[in-house]
This record gives sequence, C-alpha cells and structure tokens, in this order.
Amino acid sequence: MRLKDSPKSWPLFLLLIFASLALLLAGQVGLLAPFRGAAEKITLPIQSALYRGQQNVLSPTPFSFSEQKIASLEAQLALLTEENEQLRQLLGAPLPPSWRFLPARVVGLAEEMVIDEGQVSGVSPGMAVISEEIFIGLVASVTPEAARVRLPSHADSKIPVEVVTQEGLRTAKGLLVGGKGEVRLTRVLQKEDLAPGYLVMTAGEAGYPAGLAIGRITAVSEEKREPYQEAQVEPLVDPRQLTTVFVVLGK
Amino acid sequence: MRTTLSWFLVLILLIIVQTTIFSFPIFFPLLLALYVNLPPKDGFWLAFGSGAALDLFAGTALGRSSLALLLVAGLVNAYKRRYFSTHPAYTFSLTFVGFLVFDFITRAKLSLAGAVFASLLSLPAILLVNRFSKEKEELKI
Repeated sequence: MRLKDSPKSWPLFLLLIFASLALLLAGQVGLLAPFRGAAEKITLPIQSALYRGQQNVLSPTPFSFSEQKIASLEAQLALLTEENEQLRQLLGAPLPPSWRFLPARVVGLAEEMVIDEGQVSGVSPGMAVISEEIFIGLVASVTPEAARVRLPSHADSKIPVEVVTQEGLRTAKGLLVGGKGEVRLTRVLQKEDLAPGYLVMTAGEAGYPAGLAIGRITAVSEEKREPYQEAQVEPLVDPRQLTTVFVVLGK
Repeated sequence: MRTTLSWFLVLILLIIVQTTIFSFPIFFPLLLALYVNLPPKDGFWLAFGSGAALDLFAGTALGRSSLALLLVAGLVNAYKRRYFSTHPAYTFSLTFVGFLVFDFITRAKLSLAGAVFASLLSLPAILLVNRFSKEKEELKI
C-alpha cells in the first residue's frame, strides 16, 4: 500500500478500523444488545413496509388520506385474519401436542427470510420455522428483535430427509440441498424408489424435527452410473407468499 | 460534505432494499465508485457508516461489514493514483476483486456470481458518480 499518497487520511483509516474491531468485540460480549434492540425497533418496520409494498406491488394504490387509512386498517385486518386462520390450521395439523409455537411476521426475504421475533421472544438458532405442518426453514441467526431463517433453497442448507409416496409409504432417504434458488434431493441410493410426485419430509436428524413436509419431487435424474440418485424438488409453499410463520419454540 | 451525506443516504436506501427484498449486492458497486471519486477521508467514513448500516439491517455482527468495507476502501485508496482510476474498465476489475475480498471477510465465501453481478453494476454506478461529480465541478466554475 502506498501510504505516502494521502498521509492525512491514513490515521482516520486506522481509527475506523479500530472502531470496527471495538464494535465487533463489544457485540461479542453482548454490550451492544440494548442498542441493537432499540435500533431494530426502527429498522424492522422500515423493512416490513418495504416487503409489504413489494408483495402488494400490483395492487392499486389509494390516493386520499382516508382511503390510505382504510387500506392500512384493511391490511392489518387481513394480516390478523390470516394469522388466525393459520393458527387454526396449525391446531388441526397432525403435529406433536408438546410443541410450542410462536407466531412471527415475515418482514423481509432476501438471501434469508427475516422474521420479527428474536432473542427477546425466546427464539434461538437451530429452531424450526413452519407454516401449518410444512417446514419453511431453520433459524440461522438471531438479534434481540428479529431472526434470520435459512430456507431449504439456501446454498448452505443441508437437510436429512425421507421420501414418501402419495399413500404415505417411505421409499427412500437422502439429503436435501439448496443452491442457486433451487432445491435438490441428493445422496439417495440407486436401489431406492424415487418418482415425480413423491413427498419429501424431514427425517428428524441433525436437529431437524421429524415428519414435516418440505416439497414434492418434480423430476428424477436418469444417470444410473452414479452411486446416488438425484431429484429436483419443488417446495410446497412459495416463501414470497407468506406473511406469517410459526417458530417451534420447544419440542 | 453535503454531497457525501447525500450519497450515504442513497447507499442506506440500497442497503435496505438489498437486505429486505433483493439478495444481490446492489449497494457495493456504488460504494466502490464513490471510493474512487471522493476524497479518501469521505470514502473511509462512507465505508464505516455503510458497513454499520448493512450489519444493522442484515442482522450480522456489528462492525464486521465496516471492517471489510474499510479494508476494500484502503485497497482502492492505495492504488487509485497509480492508475486512471475513473475509467470504467478499472472500476469493473476493482469491483470484482473488491467484492471477493468483502465476501471473503464477511461470509468466508467467494461468490463469483455476486462478483460478476457487482462488476456489471459498477459501470452504471461509475458513470452516475462521474456525471454528478462533473456537474458539481461545472457549478463551481
């Protein structure tokens, strides 16, 4: 590096490097949690508004203040109605009665899904996030007021799964991996039965809860020389359509 | 200073969009174009502020992105007088390398797709920043 170029700016550079390291250290020992929690009370509503705006981008926008107020109230009512409906469906879903759920709103969906419940509500990394009995993802990181959920399509996602037929017969075991926005079923032995339409469910290994549906097989690779079979899997829900999900707090 | 603040607000807006609805690095090319055009001190402040905003909106450890962006800013600052730094080809290659450095420090990954995307975006970004810089110089004259 040519430090002679702009000697007056390099002390500032070193100072800011030091400040960044101090921030990192303070964050590690938890000194920044109160500040972060307060800041997220401002940032999450902004992200939520942007996300809702993106979801409703094709719907007409009212112009007058009263129309906007009505639209805002209608949106709130729709959200609460949907949350209520999902809670009813969750109660009717064949999930273990010992599981405890925490409803959370989706406030962003970029590389990971952002939900508006975090450490303060008891959410911690590794918890499953579901909608009805469908697996949406696993909590990857938490901050005081929010959590980031890693979806099966994420490049780092590896979920042990089992494959069941439409009749509920288990036919294969494998690993569901994500990447480039797609979900692939891998590590399935050639002797095991895979076919389009079969359901892919969590196997209950590596910390994932068992028996949650993830997706459906859409295509199976024809390569018979490889030791393992592969298949394309389409998730049962489009995460972009979700407004409310449930965090499985305890099993 | 006012110009730097205006650019900072634009960067914040891009960071919010990137962390909420868009998984590609859309703020990075603009930040790099600004490093090249602005005085080093302004570039360092932008790096620190943008990094803090990115960590806050992305839910990552505060200070991590600031550190990575500052190191990239340092790299740009160290080499920008050696080459014709406002040339799009220079910015293109600099963005590619800079993004890989940033990605490696923040995520321990080397996303080539992200680097190519950021490099492609660097061309309109440098043109935009150059245009605003020229307009400002003309106004001064």
